[in-house]
Amino acid sequence: MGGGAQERRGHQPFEHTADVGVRAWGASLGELFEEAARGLISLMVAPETVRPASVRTVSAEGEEPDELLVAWLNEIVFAFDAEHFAPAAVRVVRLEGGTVTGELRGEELDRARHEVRHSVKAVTYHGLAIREAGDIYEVRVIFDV
Amino acid sequence: MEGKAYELKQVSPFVYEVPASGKMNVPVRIYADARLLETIERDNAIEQAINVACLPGIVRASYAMPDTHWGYGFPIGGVAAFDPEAGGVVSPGGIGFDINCGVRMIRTGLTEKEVKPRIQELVNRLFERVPCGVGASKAIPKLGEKELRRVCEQGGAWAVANGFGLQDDLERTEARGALPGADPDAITHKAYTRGLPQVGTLGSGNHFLEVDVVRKVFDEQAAAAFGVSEGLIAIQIHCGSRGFGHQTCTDYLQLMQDALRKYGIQVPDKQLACAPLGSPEGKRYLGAMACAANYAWANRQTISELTVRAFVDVLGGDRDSLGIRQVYDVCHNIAKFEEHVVGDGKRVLCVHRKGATRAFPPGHPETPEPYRAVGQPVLIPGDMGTASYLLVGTQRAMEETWGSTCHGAGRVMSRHGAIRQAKGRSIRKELLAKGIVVRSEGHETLAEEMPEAYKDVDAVVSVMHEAGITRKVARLEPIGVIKG
Repeated sequence: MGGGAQERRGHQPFEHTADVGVRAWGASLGELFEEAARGLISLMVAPETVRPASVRTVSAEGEEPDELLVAWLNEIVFAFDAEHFAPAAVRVVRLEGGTVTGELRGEELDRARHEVRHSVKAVTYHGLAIREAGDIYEVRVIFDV
Repeated sequence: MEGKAYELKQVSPFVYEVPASGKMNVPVRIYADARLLETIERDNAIEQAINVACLPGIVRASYAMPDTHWGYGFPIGGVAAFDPEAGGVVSPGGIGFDINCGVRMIRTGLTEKEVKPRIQELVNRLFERVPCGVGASKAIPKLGEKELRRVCEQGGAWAVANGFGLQDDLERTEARGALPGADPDAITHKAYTRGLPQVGTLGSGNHFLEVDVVRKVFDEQAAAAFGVSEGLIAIQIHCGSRGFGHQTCTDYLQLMQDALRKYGIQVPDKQLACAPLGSPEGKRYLGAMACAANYAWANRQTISELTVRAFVDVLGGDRDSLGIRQVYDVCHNIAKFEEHVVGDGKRVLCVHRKGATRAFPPGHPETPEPYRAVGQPVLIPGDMGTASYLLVGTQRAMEETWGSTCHGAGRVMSRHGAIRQAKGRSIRKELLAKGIVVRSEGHETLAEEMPEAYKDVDAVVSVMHEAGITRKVARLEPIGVIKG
C-alpha cells in the first residue's frame, strides 16, 4: 500500500463471532502499540465524547513482543474497568527491551456524557501474531467482551 | 476459510468423531445433528477441539457440545478432563475469562396472569435494584479487601451471612456456592481492585436477568421435584465473576506462558497455556480460580436477593406468599475435581467445562437431596427473544461426557454483523410486539444480542435430549428482561 504518512499507521475493527477485534498497523512497534491502544479505546468508548482532562501513566512488561502488547492493552482495560478512567487519547512514551511505558489522556467515566460501547473483559491471544509486511508492523487482536 | 485439515466421521446418530492422529492424544467427539454440524464447521471450533486433544494427560476425548463455537484456545462449548496422575494439566483458557459464568433459576408461585399487567413496572424496579452495564458498581455498601477475601473463601455463604437470601438457596446451588481450596493470596491486587465495587452487579454483553413463564412441561415428575409447573413465573439470572474473574484469568494466562517454558510443554496456541496439575503454578491457578468462582456465587446470591426485593416492592407480600424458592444454580465456565469411572476403575479427574454445564444423575451425592431421586437440574438459557430450558442430568451423561452437557444457544453472528442487521430496526419494539419487555443499559446491547445472532436453542437442547445426555423438563419463555 502506497500513499502518505496517514496510511502507514491506523486501526480498524473487524468481525468475530462472540467478541470484537481490532486490526492495527504502524511503521514502528511504538506506532503499532499506539494504534492497537487507540483501536481498543474506540471499542470501549467513543473517544470524541471524552475530554483529555488528566493524564495517567501506564506501563507493562512482557518477555516477547506479543506478550508485551497483550500486557500493554490489558493495562488500558484495567484503567477503564477498575479505575473508571475513560481514555480519549494514548501515546507511547518508551518501548524497549521487554517494557513499554505510555500515557493515557482522559477523565473519570461519566455514563451521561460519554458514549460507552463495549465492556471489554480482557485481551486474548487468539490469532495474535505481530507481523512485518514490508516496513509496516501489523497485528490483529481479539478482545473478550 | 481453508479446506478442512481433519477427518470427520459419524459414530452414532448424534455424535461425530475426529479420530486421534498426529499430535492428538485422544479423538474429538462432537455432539450435534447434521444442521448444527454445518454451522459448527463454519468457524474454527473443531480445529480448537483438536488442539485441546493434544494437551498432556487428557482422558478419553476432547468433547464439543452442539452449541460450540470458537473461543480462546479451547472452543466454547468444550469439555476436557485431565488425569493428575498422568501428567494432566490445568489450563485457564479451558475455563474462560468469565470464571463461573453461570445461571440461576428461581421458581415462584405467581401466574402469568398476575404478573403480566405489572411487567413494565417490575422490569423498571429490577433495573433500579440491580446495577448493570459498563461501569456499574456499588450495589451494596463498599467492601474492603479484607471482606472481599472472605467472599473468596465463603462464596454464596458470605452473601447469605450478610442478609442476601437463605441457606436453602445454597443447598440448591452447585458446590453449595463455594469451591473448596480458595486461596485469596493467589489473587492479585489488580483483581481485588476490579472486584471490590462490582459485587451485586449484573455486567453487560450476554448477561441478563429475566422474568419467564413456564410454557411447557415435558417431564412431570422432574418438574414437580424442581418446583415448576406450566403457567408459573420463574426468574433467571445469568452472570459471572465480573472484572474480578476476568483479571484473574488475564493474570494467570501471563503466568502460564512462563510455566509452558519452564515445563517444556508445547501448545499449538498460546491461549492453551497450561501447567501440570500438581505444579506450584497449577495449584496457584486453581486456588485463584476457586476465589473467582466463589465471587461469582456471592454475586448471583446477592443479585437474587435484590431481585426478590424488587418483586416484593411491586407485588407486595413476601418470599413465602410469592412462593419464591431457588430451583438451582449452575456454572458453565469452571474446572472441577470429580470422581469418574475410567476403564475398570474410578479416578479423580480435573474436568474443564468452558461453555458447558455439569449434568449429574439421580443418586449422585452432589445432586441436592430434594432432587436426588430425579437428577441434577440443568439450566440452559437461550437468547432473550425465544426460550430457555430446564433439563435434568442422566447416568448416560456420566458415562459419556463426564456428566456434562451444553450451556446455551451459542452465537452465530458477530456483534458488528448483528448491529448491521439491526440497522433501522428497533429490537426493543420487536420484542415488545412478541410480548417481551426489555430494559437495557448499553446503546448497542440489544442489537448485538438480537435473537438472530444466536443458534437455535431448541435444536441444541434436542440433540442432548435425543442423545440421552440431558432430558428436557420444561421450556420457559421470557416476558421481561434486563440487560447491561
